[in-house]
Amino acid sequence: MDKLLISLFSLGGIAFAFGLILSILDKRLRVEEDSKIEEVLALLPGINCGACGFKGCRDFAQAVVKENNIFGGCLPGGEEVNKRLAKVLGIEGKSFSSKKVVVLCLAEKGEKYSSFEYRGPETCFLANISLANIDCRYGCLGFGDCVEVCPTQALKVEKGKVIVDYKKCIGCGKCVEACPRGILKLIDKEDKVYVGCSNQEKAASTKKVCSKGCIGCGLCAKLIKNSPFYLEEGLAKIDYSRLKTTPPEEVVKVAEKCPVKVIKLLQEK
Amino acid sequence: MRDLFLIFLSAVLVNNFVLTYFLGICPFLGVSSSYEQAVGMGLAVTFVMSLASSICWIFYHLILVKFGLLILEYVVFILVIASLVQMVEMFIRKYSPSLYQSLGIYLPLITTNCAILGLVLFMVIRDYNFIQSVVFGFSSGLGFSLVLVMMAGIREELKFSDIPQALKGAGITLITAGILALAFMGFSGLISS
Repeated sequence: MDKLLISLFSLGGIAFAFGLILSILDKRLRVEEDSKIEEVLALLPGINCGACGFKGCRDFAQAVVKENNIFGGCLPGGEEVNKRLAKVLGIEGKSFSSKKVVVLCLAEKGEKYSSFEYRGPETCFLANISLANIDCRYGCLGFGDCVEVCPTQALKVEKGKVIVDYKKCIGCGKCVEACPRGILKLIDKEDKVYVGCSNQEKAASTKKVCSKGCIGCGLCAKLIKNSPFYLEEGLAKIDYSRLKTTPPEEVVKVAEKCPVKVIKLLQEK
Repeated sequence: MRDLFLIFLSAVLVNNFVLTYFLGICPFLGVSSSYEQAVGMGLAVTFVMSLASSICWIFYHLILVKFGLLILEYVVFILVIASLVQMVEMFIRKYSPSLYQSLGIYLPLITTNCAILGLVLFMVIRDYNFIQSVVFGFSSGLGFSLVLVMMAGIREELKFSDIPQALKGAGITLITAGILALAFMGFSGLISS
């Protein structure tokens, strides 16, 4: 009986002391979390699929509240959830310029010349810091580092060229970070045109390494009035802010007239 | 003084918790993928170990032994460790949210880290006095951090090497851990008796 009481009191005492210290510390060190995070989290399906490009639902909710933007939105939740998310954030009705990725290199395997055989590790990252498997210093290496990081399997490499499935792309931008050559670029979802080449060299040098490259003729800039296309270091580029005011049929005209067909139109929505 | 130094050397190198006793393998494999995480985890464990060894010594000798309650040994030790971990978690969450994020579940899991319970039990079995226990706790934590940081360094380098497909991920990590343990066996003759 004696022992029972002693053990009860000593153990209880120790536990009580620790409980007291912890509760005091809890008051002192409490981290205030935005109540909105919990609210957003409650709306999400909570399956932590990672399709939004974040680590899980909590990570997504934190980013959503912090940036006041729903990014690509919650895929499994669908439109219903995204609408309610916007409501919680008070940005209802605003258009979210969600993004999609484009690949600024259209050349397939045989079209990108290589003067030697590459036998190193098959990742873009390592190929890029060595001599690389293609002669073009700007083109897609085609090992698919971007494919590996894509959370929705929207990318695939076919014949040494990266193809995007726009039904799956959520515009998270993970592939953009993974590409060592910066060929991938995020554009607004509504935009329907991009320049499929990144080679900034002069026409003669470009032609030596690739049969598909932009030769920098400048036709796209001259062909229509107030053209959103312009030349920068021998490469056609698009000013996407001006593109929005350009009539679509004019853009189609430019794309058709491009002598090397690097101005690519996207048919899908 | 000499015995303190021997305890220190023994805990850090010769009888390293991770590579000789194979205690605390869970965080050793779990958070050793990046150098910064490993340093954070090492510091947290060192802190918990140093405090746990001293507080457990006090409770063990002043309460458990005195009242003959040795049967409650484990309960008290776990209580102390759990509270300390909770404390560390609060501190880290407050002062380094990024570290808190990256350690994730492994931070509360220090509670069930067998290296820490092992440390306190060794301390009791070997009948250390107070100063010895504190040194033992601190140097064990240091040994744990050392191994964790070493492993993280190796794993960061491994990312750039051409590993056979079948060994990628866990496979090569376990092999690395084994080779590290073999290397640490070289210290085994350092302290006689």
